[in-house]
Amino acid sequence: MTDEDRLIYQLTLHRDLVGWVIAKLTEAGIASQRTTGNDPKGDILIVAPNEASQVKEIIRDIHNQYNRENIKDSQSTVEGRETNLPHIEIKTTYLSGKAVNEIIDTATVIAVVSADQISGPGKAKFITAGIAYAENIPLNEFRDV
Amino acid sequence: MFDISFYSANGEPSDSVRITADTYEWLAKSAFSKIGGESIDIQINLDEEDVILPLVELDRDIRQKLRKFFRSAIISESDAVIAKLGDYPSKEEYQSGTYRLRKMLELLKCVENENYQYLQRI
Repeated sequence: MTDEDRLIYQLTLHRDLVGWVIAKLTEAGIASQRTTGNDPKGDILIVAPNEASQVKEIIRDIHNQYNRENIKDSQSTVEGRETNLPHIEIKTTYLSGKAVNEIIDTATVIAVVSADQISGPGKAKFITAGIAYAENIPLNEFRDV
Repeated sequence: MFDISFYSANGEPSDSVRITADTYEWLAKSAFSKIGGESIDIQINLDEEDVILPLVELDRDIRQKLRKFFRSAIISESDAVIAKLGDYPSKEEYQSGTYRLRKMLELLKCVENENYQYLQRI
């Protein structure tokens, strides 16, 4: 597979994972929208800002469903992150270092969902910043949604 | 959102440019995805963890090709942006209209920074 094919493949994974998360939120009665164009605020907009904490709860539950519980990995200490434009960020590759800081700097992202792993220090930074996360979502769960 | 990341030989220092799916798609369909051939799995140390990532080594020739690609993309994009924005764009029009241009400039700066030895585009 060429790099061009692999970039296109990442785009399809990303599109499908966005659709899967929106479907999960809809099941819980939460309205959300896929962002379009070059919107840097995130991939999914939560329509009602007052549902942000419920969304974070759902994302934490999704994380616990696919990852073994671990004290170091506990998100119970996640605090509030105030924004009137809450968004979810979708990732498909390993997330660490500066890429984590870029998400925190948005001030609009309240949760991150990834098909891959998030580094240990990256998760700790998300907890401090009040951002919920769900990592390692298996491909067979969300492909072709 | 997607990240185009740059790493030094040991992993750190590093930098990441966060881009939208629209801009990533544009890059995927451009020469950017072909320069340097296929990414190779290389082990580096990031956030105190050893990780294996698909990377392109930024040797002199590849760095030069990427530099040329971004410089030329920035010139064409500047032309398009000036034509599109007109004289009195609103703040929103300015922010969305210049988005890709600003990202190209960030990417060019990383490509030109010789502290970075590897590029991660996938």
